[in-house]
Amino acid sequence: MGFWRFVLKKALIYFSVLIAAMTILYIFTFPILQQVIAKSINYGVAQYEQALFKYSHHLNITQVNIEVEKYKEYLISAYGLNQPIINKYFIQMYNLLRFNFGDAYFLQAPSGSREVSAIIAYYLPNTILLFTTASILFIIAGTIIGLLSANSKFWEKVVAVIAVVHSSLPTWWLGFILLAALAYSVKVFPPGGMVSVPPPKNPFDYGLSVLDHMALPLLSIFIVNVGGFAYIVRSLVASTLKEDFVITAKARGLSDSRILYRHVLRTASPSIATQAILVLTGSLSGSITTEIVFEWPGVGYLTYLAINQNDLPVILGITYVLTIVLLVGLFLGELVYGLLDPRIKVGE
Amino acid sequence: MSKRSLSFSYYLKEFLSSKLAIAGLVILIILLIFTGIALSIPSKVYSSWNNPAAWSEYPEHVPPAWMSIFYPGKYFTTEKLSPTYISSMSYGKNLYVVTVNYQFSWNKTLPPYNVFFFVSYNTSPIEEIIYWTKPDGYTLEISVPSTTYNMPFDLTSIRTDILNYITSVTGKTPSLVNSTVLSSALFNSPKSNLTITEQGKYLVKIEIASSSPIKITNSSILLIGNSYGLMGTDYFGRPVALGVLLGLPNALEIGALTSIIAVLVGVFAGGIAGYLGGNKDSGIQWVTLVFLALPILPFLVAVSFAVRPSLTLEALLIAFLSWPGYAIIARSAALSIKSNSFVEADKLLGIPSYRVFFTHFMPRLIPITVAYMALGVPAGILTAETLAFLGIAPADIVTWGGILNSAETYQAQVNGWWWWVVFPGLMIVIVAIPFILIGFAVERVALGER
Amino acid sequence: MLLEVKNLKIYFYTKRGVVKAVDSVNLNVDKGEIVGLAGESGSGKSTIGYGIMRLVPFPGKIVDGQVLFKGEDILKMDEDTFRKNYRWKKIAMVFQGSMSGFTPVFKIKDQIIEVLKLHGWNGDYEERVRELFKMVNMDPILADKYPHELSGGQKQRAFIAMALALNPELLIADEPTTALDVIVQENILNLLKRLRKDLGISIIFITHDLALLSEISDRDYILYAGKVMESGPSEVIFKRPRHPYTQALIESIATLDKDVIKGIPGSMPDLSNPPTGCRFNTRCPFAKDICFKEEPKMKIFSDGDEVACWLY
Repeated sequence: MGFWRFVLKKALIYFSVLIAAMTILYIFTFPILQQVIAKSINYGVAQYEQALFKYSHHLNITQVNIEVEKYKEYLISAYGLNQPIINKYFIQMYNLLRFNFGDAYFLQAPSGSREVSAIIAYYLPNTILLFTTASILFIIAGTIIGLLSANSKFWEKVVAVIAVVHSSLPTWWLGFILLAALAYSVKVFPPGGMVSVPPPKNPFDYGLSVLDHMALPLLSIFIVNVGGFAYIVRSLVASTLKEDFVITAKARGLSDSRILYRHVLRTASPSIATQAILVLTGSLSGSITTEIVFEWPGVGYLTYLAINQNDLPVILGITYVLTIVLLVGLFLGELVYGLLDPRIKVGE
Repeated sequence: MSKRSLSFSYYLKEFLSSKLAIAGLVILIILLIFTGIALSIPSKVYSSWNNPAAWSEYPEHVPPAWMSIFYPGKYFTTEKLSPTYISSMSYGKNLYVVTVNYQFSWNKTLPPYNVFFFVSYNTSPIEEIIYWTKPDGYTLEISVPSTTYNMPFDLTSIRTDILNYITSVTGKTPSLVNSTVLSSALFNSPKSNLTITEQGKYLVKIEIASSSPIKITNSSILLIGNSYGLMGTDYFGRPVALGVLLGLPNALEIGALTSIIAVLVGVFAGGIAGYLGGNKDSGIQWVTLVFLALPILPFLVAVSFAVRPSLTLEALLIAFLSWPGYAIIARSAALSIKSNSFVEADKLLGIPSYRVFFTHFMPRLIPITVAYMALGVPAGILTAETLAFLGIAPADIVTWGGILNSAETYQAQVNGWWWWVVFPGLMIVIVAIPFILIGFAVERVALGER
Repeated sequence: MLLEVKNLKIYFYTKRGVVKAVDSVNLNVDKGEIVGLAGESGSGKSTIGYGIMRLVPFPGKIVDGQVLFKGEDILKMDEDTFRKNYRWKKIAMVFQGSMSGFTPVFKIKDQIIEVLKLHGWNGDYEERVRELFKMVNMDPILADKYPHELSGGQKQRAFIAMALALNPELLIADEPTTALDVIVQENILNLLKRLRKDLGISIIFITHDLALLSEISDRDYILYAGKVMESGPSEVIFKRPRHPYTQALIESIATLDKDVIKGIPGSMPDLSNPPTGCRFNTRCPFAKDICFKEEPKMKIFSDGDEVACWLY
């Protein structure tokens, strides 16, 4: 009972956070959106005016102007430009919740749809594939290295060094270097994209091709992030080792390795899981930028395309989607923490 | 237990006892010296960065000059030639001819990247011809088009005659006409179909004929090297080393600004949350979550569509979304201070809550604040450079991310221009290191206090 | 003699110097005896307990001495042998009441079963857990809970149950009742007395509260600044204490018929730089010249009392 109340409470909190975050985003992008709409209205009106002049000779100047004015009014109300801000705000929020981001300015999805949500829906799974795989790998590796370093001076030094790497190396730059080194100088891996062109028909070969293309970006994300996470795990484990129950565990005859890998790990795992989620949210930005270098068709690459084409609706859609991804991640993190820590699961 | 003083001098001593901290400080000082150098560069040079014409005399996308250590003879830098002698002749009253003579030896295995001719005089000539004699004795006659009289020109301006020469030797017209191809015509042997460079003595004669007396005001020849500088050049011929240097103050400034603001706001928020507890704590945590949820990169991209941020504004925006991380850390630090401190005792003594907060509580958070201010700088720099890489940066400033953006646009990795990619990125790493070392050292001291 | 501690020295090597926490301590425990180990905080009493269990935390080290358990020096054994055969099997330890003795993420029952399994105990595990809980007067249902669901007193009793799991011959109880309320304190004391009677288990009871020892122990050792000041049968210690420190300690016990409680002025000397002579010299009301020059030797009296003091 206690646990489900916990889940419900957290879900409500996260939902309210989502609304608040979107509101902030709205506040920041509202002016430019209005500007852009006004520009396209003016453009539409000018075109209409020109068409009138060209094709309707029977109307005189005043009549033309009246028609143009009427059209302008029509466009303004169609775009909702004349509504009070509050209305516009609620409409926008409602749309966002339904994942309706409107149409892109220039880009379109391979299926031909101009809807931003369709475009993002095409690119997002690729990002999730790359990022999730890389994350699982570096979290597991980081946890193992972090645990090892709690008792070993050698691993402790290793962790310190690679933690420095983590804080200073841009993922996308490492990707750049790896690409230049391993895909162009020494042609070990393919130079970008997600799958070879033309894609293999056989699903097994297709899968292999994807793995082949994923190797370098995966390596970049892994190298940059594994050290930081190992350092975090090491700190958590080290501070857990200072707790009383460790001495009492040793007193009752448990071996050091058993204490570390069962008792300490299990006790620290809620915090480790929370940190893992936080680290994921932090490494997401670097990873999606890496997509650009490798032309991996994910959300990062889409962002790059959208920037070059000044396609604001796409950017807004991506921001929203990533916010949701982050919030879902944090929410899951809290759930996992609750599950792993019996003090919450059984309720206090 | 002896009482340990929480004074600044104690912290300083503990901090300086760490070897890594000293190393960090040393590197930081070196960086600051370079920043000073960068800031003293005249703004003319700075603004010329975005003007490709200013770099026309620089070889484009060439590797660093020190490559000649590894490949002697293959890599060389730009050489300036002065005339060996100038002779003038007059034929009657209406014909004056001046000949500017150059002589040089060429013993490299590759031709120069380009050749620039500087000849200026005081009249308008009838004719200007270059006689280019190769070591094998063959002389090539190149006429200078009248459109380029009395101004500097390179090989592409006189390509017509050179291209004819190439066709006569190889039988084909080159599909790609750039300075390297034209230069190979002037320096490579016809016997090898213009592929192998002729080493030896070269003679260049520039003959100018005019109807009035000619006075040469300036003349020189520039043999453009195929390597340049400490870090090579980019697609436009701009020295990468200069770009790296110019980017340094910007990187440091934005990193420091972002870090200071984000950490101050974060520690304050987290400290208050930890101190007050209860509903106010949950409230602050909620706000923290809201800002934590917004993804920095797409958000900043979206905002920059509306307004091109200045350096300060960009720092503010990044800090705007970075402070939650520090708030979380500060809050847990605050909670542990609260649990083993005299907060309750002070409150019982009747000191008002807010006074306890400022005089006793917050000062205990200072060490960790300083630590994270240091550690936050690399994070700020990384975010700023990532944004620059995406093409979002304050207008008209040089950033390492911006340099890497060009590198990506012009496919540096495909063309093998490794220096363009390696050095700017390496700087991002190098500049982060002293802050990390210092930050870790301060953190160690701060945690040791407990 | 079940346990003989001879000349035990435990030093802590800190940045500020070598702290001589336990400096040449002798201690005996016989089968079925409850021995009290009393002293202020910092006197070294807990460290002796850790020393016997070979659990001295960094940066401490056992520098010298012998700990003979039924004649065998357990300090000389290698870690593996000690862990498998002695720790918890022959000698078990119960920690300060305020410490969380159990790992927070596992159920109590599972942790006890883990201990049983690891030491090669075979049989009906559930039944054994129930047995142990009955021994400490607890409802076996509580074994199925997580540590945070139990009260302080329950946790302590559950831990005692776990300590008894392998039928140890010696139980070291380090401040087992600190931070527990008086009624629970009484329960635990009675429990320990009963265990001695029913199981014949010997107990070393470490505490700063002499009043507790007057209720439970057969013999007591009074520790000060890492050295034994006085030791002897409880009766003698409490009725006719000879050492000035012991006298002062007993004076400071609060009882219902006292109007004034006397403390002991001053504080313990810095153990990284112990004073020459008797360690109590700065606070002793009877200190003589020789007390500042030479350490007094142990004198044995006919009533079983042993005192290290220049008064005798």
